[in-house]
Order: sequence, then structure tokens, then C-alpha cells
Amino acid sequence: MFPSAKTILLTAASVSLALTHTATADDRGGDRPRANPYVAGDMHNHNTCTDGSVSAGYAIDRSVASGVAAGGGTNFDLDWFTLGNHGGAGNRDCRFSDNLANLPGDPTTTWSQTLGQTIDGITITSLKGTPNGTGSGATMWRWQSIKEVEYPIIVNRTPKYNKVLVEGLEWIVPGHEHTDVAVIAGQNPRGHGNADKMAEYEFRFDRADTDAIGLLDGENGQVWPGKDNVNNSGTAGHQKAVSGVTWLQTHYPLQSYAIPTHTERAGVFNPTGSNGYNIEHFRDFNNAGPTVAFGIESPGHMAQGSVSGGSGSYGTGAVGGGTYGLSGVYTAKVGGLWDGLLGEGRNFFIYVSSDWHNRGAGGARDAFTTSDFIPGEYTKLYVPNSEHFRAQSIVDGMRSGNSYSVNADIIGPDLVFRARGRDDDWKTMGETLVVRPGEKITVEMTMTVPAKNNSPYSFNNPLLQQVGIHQPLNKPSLDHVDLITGRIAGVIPPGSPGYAVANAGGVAGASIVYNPTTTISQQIHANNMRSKRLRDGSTQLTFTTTFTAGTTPSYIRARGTNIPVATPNVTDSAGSPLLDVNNALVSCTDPACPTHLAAVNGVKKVTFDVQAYSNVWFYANPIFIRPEGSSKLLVEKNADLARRLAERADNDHDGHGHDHDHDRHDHDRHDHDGPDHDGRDHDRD
Amino acid sequence: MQRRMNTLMVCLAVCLTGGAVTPCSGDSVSVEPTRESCEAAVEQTRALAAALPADDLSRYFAERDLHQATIEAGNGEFDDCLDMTARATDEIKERRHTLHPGEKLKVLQSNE
Repeated sequence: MFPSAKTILLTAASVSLALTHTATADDRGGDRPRANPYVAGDMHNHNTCTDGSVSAGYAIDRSVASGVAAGGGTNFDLDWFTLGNHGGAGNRDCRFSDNLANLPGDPTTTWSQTLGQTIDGITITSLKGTPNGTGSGATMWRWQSIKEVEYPIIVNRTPKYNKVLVEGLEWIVPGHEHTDVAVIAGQNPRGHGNADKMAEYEFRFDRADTDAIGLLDGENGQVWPGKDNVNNSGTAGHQKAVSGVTWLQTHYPLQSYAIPTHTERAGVFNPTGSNGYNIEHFRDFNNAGPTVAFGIESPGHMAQGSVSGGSGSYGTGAVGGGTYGLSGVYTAKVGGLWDGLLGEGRNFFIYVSSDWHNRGAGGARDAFTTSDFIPGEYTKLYVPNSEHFRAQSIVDGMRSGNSYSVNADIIGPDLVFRARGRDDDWKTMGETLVVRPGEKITVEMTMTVPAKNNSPYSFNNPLLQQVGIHQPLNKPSLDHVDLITGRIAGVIPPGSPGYAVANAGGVAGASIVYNPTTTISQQIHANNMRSKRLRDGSTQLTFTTTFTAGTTPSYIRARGTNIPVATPNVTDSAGSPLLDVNNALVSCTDPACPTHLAAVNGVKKVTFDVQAYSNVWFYANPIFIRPEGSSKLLVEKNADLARRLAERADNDHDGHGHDHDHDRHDHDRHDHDGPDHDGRDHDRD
Repeated sequence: MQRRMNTLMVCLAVCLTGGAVTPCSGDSVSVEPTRESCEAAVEQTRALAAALPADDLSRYFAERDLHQATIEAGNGEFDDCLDMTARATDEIKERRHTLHPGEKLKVLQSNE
């Protein structure tokens, strides 16, 4: 399915073992419980304000607390948490959970039952905006629940956990599927602050929010006038979506992000409806928002895979026809859509989150799930740690590209993935290494494979049993790392050939090659890495390898997995993941295989959470490389733009006598430092 | 929450008759799902589930999916409602979950 022909742009010269030092692990202040170089979080999850199963507070508690929850169930101790719930409206009072969660004393409660009552210190006296539904179906528009319910709960929880909590949104995008958004401007849970700007964005741009009124001032005037409540689908909807990204770039270029999520799920873009994305739509977003629209997110819903597919909540109509190694085909395919964007030198990175809603057949406290994992349980998005880690650190880390995405704790919070030329100027993920053609490039990777993950299962991985490997599901293992390289041909201007690419739903979408120069240049087996057993039972793995710089710009990205090359029903002969529905062709025959697995003719198959813990991957964002004297790549220009904007913001603050605590940047900024993305820049090093 | 086969489900909602699932004839019609189509699909699939024994594991799975479908409807997400209903219908048709002798699906209840 994936191209195996290798177009060599960087010559793999050697794979050698070498001692390396790990990243500095003790360089942060004492306000954080751990001192890892990266911190784990989740930016996409749901509660009963929309279609989740647990209250907003419970979702936060389970995600960031440690130990065991009072009513039962493991907490997952994330370092940061962005509440990313749908736009639109909801009829349930999200200070309560749903009956679906089976939580004691926490029954489904609608807004119609609680108006005027003070619950958890929050009093909702009315449902604001355009009336929407009656009785138990009366809904609260999401701008109101963002502002008056979720954010106050974040304020209440922040001092309790000493974690970084952010109010975000899963934007239901006009003309498209969904996009994770956060506007952190104004948010300062330790000093209260507000989520008004996040709420305004939802009101103005969410296609499910058709409220025509919004927030009113003391004289019943509209606080957020001028909403386009018409163009919510198709091509016109896409233009509204681009306007939304432009709004973020204009007002909050460093304090917001817009990351399309489960991007393959709804199929191809539909010019008369609201379906998926094609590559040109991501290009439009990145052009309109060079410092806010800088990537895409893999699907969550990792435990939904049954015998007919469904992992990631992807059906057969998704582009690619389902997930591949629990990722969408846009990111899983070597030479696929993500490589197409990297092949322009764009700052376009990938992220992962849980998309937590419910546990399917299980309640919120059960260890098994046939649907989703709680944030921190299975997926972890790592961004750089810092001395005073805060909401701005999350956005800055994501924007920089110095981040990586991990499923099932296959690796931990201390990844080192970096490259250098002949000098010692190491560059890491998201950065650009400038070298002379022919120069030796040294690539180094160090990672820790933890001693355990959160799997409740200790029986052996049935996918690995096929090839004679006996590895308990609750003990992470790494088989190999792929170093994937691709050539950068430069930015394609809008309207030029290749800017828009014909897309296809279903498995046909997996055949589209966006960057034919992309290849797995090196595959490093864990047995060929230097291994060091650590006291906590984890294993540190290190390898160093070299490439020879070519004459054209390029990039190196990495992924790792527990699955060997050519594992039946899991990986192809190159080691790339097959369509995940194939995993269900493998039987789960251990006596401990759980009851909830889907069965064929009475035989349990590798499905649901067992599939998720069996087929495990991590993805690291790319390091860019270009020849000395060549034009800066777009990723560099946009990083420069972000730096200029930050300097200007700091100068503005200095001029106004403000301090430098970005948590307190709670006023609008109207920067006019525009994007530069025509690919004709002559800014040379 | 999820979007897998909206067109198919609108088709199923129309074609579910007399407690039996019958295949649609001709081309599927791509129709924007509504509260009415969602509620009709949920009710008809609920009836199919109710025809199974109370302790049937596939019935339990289907009813959990139908519960989520009603949540999606309450949230105005009718396409997701239909997707969850389709999942429940598939569970009832395919009977992917059965209990072997002595086997039990342990789920913590709200009174535990």
C-alpha cells in the first residue's frame, strides 16, 4: 500500500552505537512535581456540556489528579489539560455527569432542572441568547457554558492540582469537520481572568452555534456584533473558516491555535456540505494563520475498533477507509498528505489527544473501554517543559514543533531527537539545520521505554504472539524506529498547479502520494540501540546515526512502534501500518482475554482497548535541513514571525510598565506583522 | 463524536420497518440528518434491541450506543446520533458479544 521505492535525498551512511547524554532533566523550578524535559497533556476531550459522559469537573479530576479517584478509577496525572469541548449548544448541566457514566450520586441533569441554583459555587440564572429548545431539551449555547461554567470550573480546579488548565474548544468548522482551538488571551485561572475571547470565537465562527444574539452588555447591546450566521457549509463555509483563522492570527497570533482534528474521518471536502479536508484547505489555514494554524491532530477514540473497523471513530468512508496504527492516513502514510505539507517546508506538525467522551460499554470507573480513553490514560502530547510552565508554554511548545505524540506510553517524557552538522549546533524537532551539501549530518535519538503503561491487561500481546514474541500488554516495548526523510520543493502558491489535490474517500484515499520523495531512510531496531536499564524498571534506548546532506532542502521525522516489520495483519513489508481493521482478523485466545471483545463465531478478536494496547506507535515532529546559502524555509520564516511578534509584545508591555508574566496578558493585541508565505523570500543565512 | 455512515443511516432509518432491517433499494439519498430522523432511528433500533433477551450482551452493548445516540441528539449532533444508532443496529444484527458459560461482563453500577 505504501511506496517502497526509495528516492534517496540523504544518504544513509551508517547506523552506529554511541553514548549520548540525556536532555537536562533538572532545569526547572520547584513549582512542578516532575522535572522532565517534556510535559504531557491533552487538548481534545469532552464532558456533559456537549456530548461527553462525565461532568466538566470530573473530567479534569481524572485527567490531572494522581492516585485513585474517591469513587474508584485510576487518575492519570497529566501535567496540562486543555478542555476542548464541541461548539454549538447542550441541554445537560455539565456540573453533573450522565447516567451513562454510572457514577454514584451523579445523575443526568438538564439545565431546565437547575436554573437559579448555586452548584459548585456557580449560579446559572438563565439560558442566554436565542432561545433553543424547551423543557429538558432547552440548551445552553456553548459560548455561555465556556464563559460561565467550564472556565469557572477551571478556576476552581487550578489551585487544587497545581497543573496548567486551559479552556479550549473543538470548533465545529464551517464547511468542514472539526478543529481544536484555544484562545488563551484573558485566561488566568490563578488570578481568575476570563475565557471571554474563547467564548467570542465560538460564538462567531462555530457552525453549530447559530445563536444570533450572543453576549449582551448592560444596555442589552450586542457585545459581539457582526456575526456571519449564513455561510456555514461548503465552499462558502470554508471561506468563513479561513476568516476564523485570520481572526485568530490578527488578534491573538501568539495566544491561540487552530489544529484540525480527526481530519480524514468525514471523507473528502464537500463543496456543498460540511465534510472533510483536502490538502488545499490546510494550506489555506496555514497561509491565513502562519503562527496559529500550524498542524493537524490524529484521531482519538482509540478503543472503538471492532471487527468491522471503527478505531478512531473512522468508518469505511473516511479518507483511507479507517485508521493505520491508530493514526489517520494523512499522517500514517509515508509520502502522504502530511509529507506533502512538509515537502513545502511548512510549519505543519502533528499532535495527538484522547477525544474522550465515554468508555462505551463500561462506566467511567471501569478499567476497560470499548470507546475512548480518559486524557492521560493512553494518548500523551508532549511539549517542552519550562521553569514556569503555563498556558503560554503549551501554545509556544506546540507552535515550535518541538513536540511528539505517544500512544500507550511506548516512550516517556524525555525524548531526545536532534541533528547536527560538523559543528555542535544541535537542532531539534521544528528547527532547521543549515549545512553544506555533502556534509555529514549526525542524528541522535534517546528515549525511555517505561516499565508499564495503563493497560489493565497483563496477558501477552496477541498481535505479537503471531510472530513468536511474548510481550505483556501492560509492559511497553519498542521494536524499531523509522527515520523518514523527504525532499522540500518549496511553497506552492495558492492557485498554482498542485496546490489543490484531488482527494478520495475510503481506501482509495490511501493511494494518493503527495510527496513521492518521502521514504523510510533508516530503520533502527531496538536491538541495535544502546540499552540501559533504569532503576524504576524502564529502559533507556539510544542510537546515533548519520546522513549525508544533499543539495536540496529536506526533513527528517521519526516514528516508532512495538510492531515488527511484516507482522501479519498489522504492518507491511516496509514496516508501515496496515489498515487497522485487519488487526481484528487476529484472535485473542488467552484465557484472560476480556469479555467485552468483539467475537466472530464465538472467537474473540483483537478489538477495542486490546487492539489499542496491541498496536502502538509514537510520532516525532520533523527536523528540517537546508543547504547553506539557500532561502529560508517557510517554517523558519514563520518562526521568525513569531519571534518578532513576541518581541513586539514584550516591548509593548515594557512601554506600558507591565510585567512579563504571560499568564497576565489579558488584553487584546492587534499585531500587523503579516504572514510571508509566497515562497519568494530572499532571506538567506 | 463520530461520523461514519450518515447517508447509510438515513437510509436505514427510512428502511427499518416492522422491527426488521431491510436493505435500501436504489441509491442512498444524502440528506442532512434531523432530530426527527434521529429519533425515529433510535426508537426503531431500541425496539430491535428490546426483542433480545434482557441478559443478552449484544442488547446491552446496543442500548449503551443508543443512550449515546440520545446524548448526541440533545447536543444537536444528529449525524452523530445516527452514527451511534448504526453502531447499535450493527451490534444487534451481528451479535458480536455473547457470554460463554460462567462468563460475565463486570461493569461498575452507580450504586456500587
